[in-house]
Amino acid sequence: MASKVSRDILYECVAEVLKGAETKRRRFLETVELQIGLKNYDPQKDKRFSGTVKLKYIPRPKMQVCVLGDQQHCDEAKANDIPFMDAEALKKLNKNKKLVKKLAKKYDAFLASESLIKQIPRLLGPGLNKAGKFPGLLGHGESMVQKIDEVKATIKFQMKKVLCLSVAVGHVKMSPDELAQNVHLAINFLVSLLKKHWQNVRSLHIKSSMGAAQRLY
Amino acid sequence: MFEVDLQSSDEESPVPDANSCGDQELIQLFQQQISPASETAASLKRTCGLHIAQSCDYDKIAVGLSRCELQLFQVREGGQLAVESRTLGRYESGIRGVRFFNGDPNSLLCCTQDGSVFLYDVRTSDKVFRYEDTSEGAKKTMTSCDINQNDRVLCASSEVQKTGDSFLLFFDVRERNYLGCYWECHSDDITHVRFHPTNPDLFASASVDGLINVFDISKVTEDDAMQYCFNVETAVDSINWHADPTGRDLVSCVTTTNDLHLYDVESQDSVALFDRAQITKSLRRTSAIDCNVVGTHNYGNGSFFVLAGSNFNRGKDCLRTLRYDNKTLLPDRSFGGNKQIVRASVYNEKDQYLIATGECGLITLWKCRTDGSEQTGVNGASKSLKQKLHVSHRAKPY
Repeated sequence: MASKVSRDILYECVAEVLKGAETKRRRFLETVELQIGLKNYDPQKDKRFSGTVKLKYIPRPKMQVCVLGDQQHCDEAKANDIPFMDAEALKKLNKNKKLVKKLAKKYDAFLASESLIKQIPRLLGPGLNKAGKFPGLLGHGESMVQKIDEVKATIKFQMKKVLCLSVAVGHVKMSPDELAQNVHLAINFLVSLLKKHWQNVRSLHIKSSMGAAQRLY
Repeated sequence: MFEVDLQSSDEESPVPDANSCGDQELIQLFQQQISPASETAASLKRTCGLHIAQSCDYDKIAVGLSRCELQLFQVREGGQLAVESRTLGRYESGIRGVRFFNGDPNSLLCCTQDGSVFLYDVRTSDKVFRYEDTSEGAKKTMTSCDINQNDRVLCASSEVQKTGDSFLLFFDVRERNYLGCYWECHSDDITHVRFHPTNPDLFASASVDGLINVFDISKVTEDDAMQYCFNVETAVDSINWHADPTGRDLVSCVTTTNDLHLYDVESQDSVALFDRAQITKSLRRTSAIDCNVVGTHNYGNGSFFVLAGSNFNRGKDCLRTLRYDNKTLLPDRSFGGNKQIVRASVYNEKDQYLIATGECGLITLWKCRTDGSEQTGVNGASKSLKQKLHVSHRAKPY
């Protein structure tokens, strides 16, 4: 599948976005978003356009992940300075909705050991479900740090009723290379999910939170 | 500088989707090459068939169209489709689910996006009743519906509402009233609800939030009803119930990115995971980005199959099934004469008919039973497999 966004244009727009953020500095770390406008797509008829994709570089570095771990994972978390809770700590919440809600608010995402993840509904009730923060599975074969980086690098997107969608692909402190690669990956993945691929794309822009949109396509 | 992965196949010219092996090999792998036994068009006007249901006696088919119309067809002797009603129902908003009762072949349910579930008696084509959502707050926009094994409880799922809540609404089918709802178990649009085929208390819900919840509705509160929760970690499009060879419950799901996941319900273990690249490979196609997974069906003998095709060439080139067998997907059947991108299907386990509808508004019936007479010969197979034989040796699906 040919990419309709040439390397030159990609790098040009990335440079513009980063320059804009550099010139007018803000008091927070601006996110860089990819905006995709669709055409020849009918949300009433066509298949739902949504999914998740793992980017190469972490777009939201400040994301906080908490590990709900068995003994082994809790030890690993402790050693790596990662926030964690064990089964006992979860039991202490006593399925109290307010406490579970508070826990959900404290972290952006959760990972849980296999033994614990199966008990979440019983230990915590539906609080994490409601907050959209049900834990992902943390296996024993993989590095915890790596898995957390994976979670931080994964972005979700969903087309709702209007034919455009915006997805965070990076931030303004990334190098041009890193940002360009993330944008390229995201574009290719999104386009691969569309029925007619590039024929369903009307426009592509990238912009920083406060900056002007740069047109890629 | 750009790393190797950016110099990938996507920079080169597009490669059309095609079979990944020759005709002869395809015939050997997909041992049944089936031509349609019957086909009918839902309408002369452009429309898509998005929902399909069959009655428990397998005699009737109901189809929900994108034109907001509900149609009824008869399946006659020999698998011939005949129209019974082109406008059984006409609605203001889109159809979101169509379902016959499990024990009564004459009762049909249809739910619409604006939050109504209609009950029809197909003998008289009468709209018998409209189940009203009398829950607190605004009427919930619906996404799917299902009825439990003993036809006593109806469940409809909703989109995420402005309040940030998404709902599972329950109705008493006989008393015809609203029973209550679950509203804490999902955080985004609920895409599908499916009751267990034999246990009237068990059902599963799936959502864009990546979760599949399994509930026992005999419990008093939502908290207690929630039995299991599977985090697929990506938006789920549809789910289905299966049984493994020992009779254990399995739940499969198709994601919005055309992956298939399978879970053992009681142990909560992931049994198998096939991403769209693997499914494409099993289908013997080259382009994963054109893969269209329609859904799964039970054979009726303890195993199940996946129905999938390609979006390439408007779906005409490929419609096949893959049999699930011990963590692998094996080539099963190939359906010739398909003219559209298939969006919904039903499988008649008794007569082994596959009935599908899709983006050209056609309803097609294939007879899968191998008594020799249904199969097309080698010539027929190659005719139905006629396509641009662009066999790319650059086997790099996206």
